[in-house]
Amino acid sequence: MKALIKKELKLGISPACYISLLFALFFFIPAYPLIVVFFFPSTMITNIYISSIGYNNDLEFSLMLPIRKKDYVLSKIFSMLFLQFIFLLLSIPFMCLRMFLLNGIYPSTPGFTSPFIIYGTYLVGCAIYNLTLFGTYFKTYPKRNLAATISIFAELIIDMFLGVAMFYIPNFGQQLENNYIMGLIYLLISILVFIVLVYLTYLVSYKNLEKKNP
Amino acid sequence: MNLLEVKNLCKSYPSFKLEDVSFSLPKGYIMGFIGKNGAGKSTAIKCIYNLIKKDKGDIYLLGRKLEDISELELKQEVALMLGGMDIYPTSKIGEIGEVVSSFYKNFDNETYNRLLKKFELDKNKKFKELSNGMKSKFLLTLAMSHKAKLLILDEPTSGLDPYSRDQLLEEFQNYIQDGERSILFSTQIVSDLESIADYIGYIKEGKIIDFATKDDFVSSYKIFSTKKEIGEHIDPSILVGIRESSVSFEGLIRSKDASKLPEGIELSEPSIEEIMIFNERGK
Repeated sequence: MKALIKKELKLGISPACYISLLFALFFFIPAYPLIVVFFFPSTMITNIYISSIGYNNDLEFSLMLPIRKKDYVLSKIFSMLFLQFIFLLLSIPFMCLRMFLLNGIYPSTPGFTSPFIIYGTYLVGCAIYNLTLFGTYFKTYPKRNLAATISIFAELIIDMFLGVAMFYIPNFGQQLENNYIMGLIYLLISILVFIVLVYLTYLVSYKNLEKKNP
Repeated sequence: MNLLEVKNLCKSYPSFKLEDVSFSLPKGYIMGFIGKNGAGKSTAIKCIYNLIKKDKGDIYLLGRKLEDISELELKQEVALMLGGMDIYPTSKIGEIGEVVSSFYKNFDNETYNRLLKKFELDKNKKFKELSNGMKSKFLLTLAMSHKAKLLILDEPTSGLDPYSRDQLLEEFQNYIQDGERSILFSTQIVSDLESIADYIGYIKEGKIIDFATKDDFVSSYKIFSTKKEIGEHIDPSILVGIRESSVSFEGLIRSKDASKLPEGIELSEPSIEEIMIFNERGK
């Protein structure tokens, strides 16, 4: 696994993925909805990553190396999570700057601004995105367009669902936004959902890769 | 001892079938696996390496049934190189080599560096900057550097100039010199096999039509050339393949059928390439 992670970091993750982390600068666009800032890294960065698998012939070559298919799948999920977590870490100081330093300067931000809600939604969004992306990708490999489209839609639906709930369910938005306990519960549930979905991503992806004749 | 034994291997796709493929490769030998594009060479190789699941049949590697060897052990002991593969185009080959070496417990840096030098491969060059021939050489360098007992090469010499091919064939001979290792070598450039192969397996439309030592394979066929009007009266059932022009008639027959040819026709020993061409042309 150590060698696989080394391979991922040195050969698997395209430099374009790291450059795409600069999407974090969107935090500084006044009145830009925070939930949307998080939408880009979980879709675009990872889309660049997934396209590099095909471009590098990574799957075919990796399966010639002493690597088990299940470890290969794990390494891909690891890389994806690695990129998504880098963005998450990168976002924390930016989020603080936006919340505390620029709070009085910037106009009010539409949508959720509670970090609990934002990060909880980000984690669930990433997990849904990874599940649909990898699950479909290893099924339709070497094609990737279907996987990319389905996964973006899946995450979009999650974000939209939250937006609609906030609008239509009375006090739902305010409760989550202003009640720290509620926010924390939301975050904890999100982490739990995230863990379950990551495991599911592994199971589905491995099953689909096993069925596939690369 | 056979390092590789394939028995009645079958694999079906909607448009192609691998049927009852059987052959074996003893320790210390090189086997040429020949057949035209789409004949089933790559499918058979991928089944042997367990990249695709076989439908039926048995594969024995290093004396053990494929199902009894773990995925990791298999790939440590058996190396596979697929020709014409573009990997990590924007990465330097030195970096690729370094990463690949970390996967193998027996990776021999001395062999790796020696082959890089022999093939004039610059570690600082990106994979995409290499010519097709150089790419093949690099992939071969990787495959040959981890001391695998069985080396499976799919079209390794495609894109190589004659000098590079010669260099490579020399390396193949060195590789099996200790008598402990073998090479299964699939190719369309059958002339490469004339000098190095000990065994020939010939696959056509998913079926093995010949498997023998190279000498037996070549001597089991005879080629002749005669006038068209004589050729037209030869019993078609003994002809494996023919080539006709307005005046001449060339044919390939099995050696055992030589006595059935009209008197006066001179027979000669065909090359492997001629055997393949006539077999594919048919009657």
